[in-house]
Amino acid sequence: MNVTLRIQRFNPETDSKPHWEEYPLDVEPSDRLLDALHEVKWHHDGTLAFRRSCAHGICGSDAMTINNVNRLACKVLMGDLGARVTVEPLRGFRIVKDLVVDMEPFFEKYRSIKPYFINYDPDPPTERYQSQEERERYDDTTKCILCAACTSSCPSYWGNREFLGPATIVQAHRFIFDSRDQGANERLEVLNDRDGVWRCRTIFNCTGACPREIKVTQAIGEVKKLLLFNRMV
Amino acid sequence: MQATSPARPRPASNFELYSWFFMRISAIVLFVLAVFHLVYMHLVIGLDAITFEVIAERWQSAGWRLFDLFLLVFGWIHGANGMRVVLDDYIHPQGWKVFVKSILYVVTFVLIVLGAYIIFTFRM
Repeated sequence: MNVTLRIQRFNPETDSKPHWEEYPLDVEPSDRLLDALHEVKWHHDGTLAFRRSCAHGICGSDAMTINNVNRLACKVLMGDLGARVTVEPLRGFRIVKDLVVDMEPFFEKYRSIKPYFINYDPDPPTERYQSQEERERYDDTTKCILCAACTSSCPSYWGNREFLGPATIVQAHRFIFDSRDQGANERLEVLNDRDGVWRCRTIFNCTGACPREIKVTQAIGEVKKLLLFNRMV
Repeated sequence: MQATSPARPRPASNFELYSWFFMRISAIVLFVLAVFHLVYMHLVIGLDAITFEVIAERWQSAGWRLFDLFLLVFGWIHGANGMRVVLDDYIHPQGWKVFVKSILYVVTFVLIVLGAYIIFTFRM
């Protein structure tokens, strides 16, 4: 099938602002958008910059705005995108070049909620056991691959870049609701802030954007509810 | 490469938590008050019949004055708090933020006090 790939390009060394370039391609409907981007980079214009690593929807490198929706280029089939495909870098982040954005502010916020296991008890001789129900409690948020599709789709984040963003709250949720973890209060301290969970306006863009189908808004709501019950009663 | 992130400023209070909870509670209260007010004024009294005398007559009852006081206070605080949150989102220079928020708080305060004064002191 013939498609036109309309890609937002930006070279910081020569451009003052981003511009659009179009690439007519002949692709299979079963090709992924990532394959089409490879086609452009390898056979049409080698200067096109984009991130990708595993190419199988696990590493989270190639999140971008595709036809106005944040998705992973490696999980979208060309047959589902129509004859004219618009590709932009993730919104809300500084563009480094073409489709590559500066993810450092994103990871800085991620690190602030201590995204690692915290337990002050002496190490047990065996694994730390957990019932199936306890594991199920935070199962949904373990699926996050930190692709930033949610945070970049969040209007509250567009409005104010100090907001921790949905991805960070999802990652905090993963540890806060883990029965083996003891760091919940330290994380809730960070989240109980004007720029923490309270900047979320339940707009649900994040839930729609998540390529792992995590119920992001629900996870944020659970953290808010926990804070309410923890701090008010 | 940075090993750990700089500590984020810690919240000194639960203000944002209370503010969030207040918005939910006041939204429910306002929904009941506003719908009742709408139905009563538009359907029971009727749009053409709303006059100074009708309102003055209504305010002979303490219950109605209390109702209007609740509508005034909840409406303004709910609205002003929502506005505060929106301003936090979209005004970034600190000076402008303080300036616009000051106007918001003063207007809110003055109109609540003025409205309450009228509700408490009105005589036919």
